[in-house]
Amino acid sequence: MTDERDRPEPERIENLLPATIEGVADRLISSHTFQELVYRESEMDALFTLVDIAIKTARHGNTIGPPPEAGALLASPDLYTMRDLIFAAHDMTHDDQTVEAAGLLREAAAIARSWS
Amino acid sequence: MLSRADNELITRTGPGTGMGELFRRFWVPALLSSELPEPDCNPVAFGLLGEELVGFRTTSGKAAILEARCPHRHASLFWGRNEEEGLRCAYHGWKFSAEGVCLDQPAEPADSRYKDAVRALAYEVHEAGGIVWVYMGPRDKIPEFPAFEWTLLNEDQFLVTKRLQLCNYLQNLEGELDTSHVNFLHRTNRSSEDPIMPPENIARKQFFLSEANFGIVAMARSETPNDEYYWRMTPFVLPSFTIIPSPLGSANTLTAVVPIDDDNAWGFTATWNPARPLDEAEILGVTGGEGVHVHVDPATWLPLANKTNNYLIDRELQRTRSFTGIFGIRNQDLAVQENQDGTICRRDEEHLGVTDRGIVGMRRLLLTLAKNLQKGEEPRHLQHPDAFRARSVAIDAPRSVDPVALFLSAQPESVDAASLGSAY
Repeated sequence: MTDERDRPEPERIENLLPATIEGVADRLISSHTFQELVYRESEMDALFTLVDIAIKTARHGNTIGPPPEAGALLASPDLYTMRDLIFAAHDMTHDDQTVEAAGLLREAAAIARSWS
Repeated sequence: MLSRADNELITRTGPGTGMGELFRRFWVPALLSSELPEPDCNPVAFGLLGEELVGFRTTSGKAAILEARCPHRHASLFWGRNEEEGLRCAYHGWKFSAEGVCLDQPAEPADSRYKDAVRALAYEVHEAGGIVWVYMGPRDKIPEFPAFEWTLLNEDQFLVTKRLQLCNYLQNLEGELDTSHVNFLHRTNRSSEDPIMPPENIARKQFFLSEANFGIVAMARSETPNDEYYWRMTPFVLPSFTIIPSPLGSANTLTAVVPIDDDNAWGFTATWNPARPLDEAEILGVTGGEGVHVHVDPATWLPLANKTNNYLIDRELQRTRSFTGIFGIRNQDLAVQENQDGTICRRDEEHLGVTDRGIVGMRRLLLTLAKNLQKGEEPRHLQHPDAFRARSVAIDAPRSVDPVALFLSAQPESVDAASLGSAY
């Protein structure tokens, strides 16, 4: 079995700030073990959730609840591009194309930077 | 999340599919031994991995599994006569041995040798641990039968049950690896005075994974009041088995989910005590219907609480003592698993949290192995049948204890670090 000691806790992904997305990309480049790649997948799952919920909240104008934290981004058409980039990066990680996946995440981070 | 393509790959298990071929590299449960109770008993028709099969027990007692359709004109051999070491089709009397050899064609000319050229599709069978297991893959790839612990014990040390589950196998498998749901879906209090939400130190967990020669160990730890960690370690055993976390020294329970087709699955559940015969309480845990063994209609294997009766939900019980108002752990699981977008969850639209890390790991392993197999690379795990003897762990331990060492300390003597290994 793989030794569990000295493993860093996986990062929590709770916003779409450029630094958050770039952090996932940076860690992805240096991820090689099964567990490391599972953690990176989980982080991209969280990024996907943030952007996908924001998109769906905007699309369903009849939703009466308050917008999610990413709600400030609701009007941005770039959200769709960002979601596609994150989804594709997640898929590439599944196929062990981590360098290419990190590149897509950096493109997503550039979109996030354009909002600030 | 998964792409639609990966969701298709991981959920479709018929002949020729990527995941179907992966399943066909492993021994999987087909029937309870008790379904074939005696020599020349009634044949049993059943589905597995998208194929229609028939099981029977020969005059000499050997369990056998054939493709259900007669090679002649595809009538079901289920209607056949089980007699004198073979199953005779009810349509024209063609008779087949346990190995699929055509023994008789009573309507063909007396001097015909046509039967010597005819074969029924017959699969390799192994009977152990109260289960008739089948291997449905290439003949030259048959692996050694894995050393599941209960299959090595006396009959009074284990009990096995079976149920029909009305969804894709993966929804059940994901539930078995999702240890976080236990504190909510399965929470039932003795008194209505107790809080229905679990204490925060129990509900909030951290999740880790370790690779093993049988698959993965999904590890979850939570804080305890005395400043230790409570560890729950679930072995995910390829291709679709899990061992429910149990305290050291107590009975273990393995759940095996095997696709019937893409929308239905068989759930086999085995409970065993490695040290002694099952005691009264352990037997009641199997037969009482309150745990993971469920009461079923013996003719169909459909649980008595099912989607047609809303799993017999009791809303008053839900208001007072039970998180769900549904009786029994397995029934609670079935209620949520049998409708996640219907029978096949749309995983390209889901939103996973940190509690889903075991699920992410399991999917990653299955998809990688299926894709590798499509490229001609066989699963290495099949070379380690002894590793499949693993046990689960549920224990409080000092924070300094290494979890891998903790897992190894709970294993049978014959399972050491080397045999668990890192196969992946």
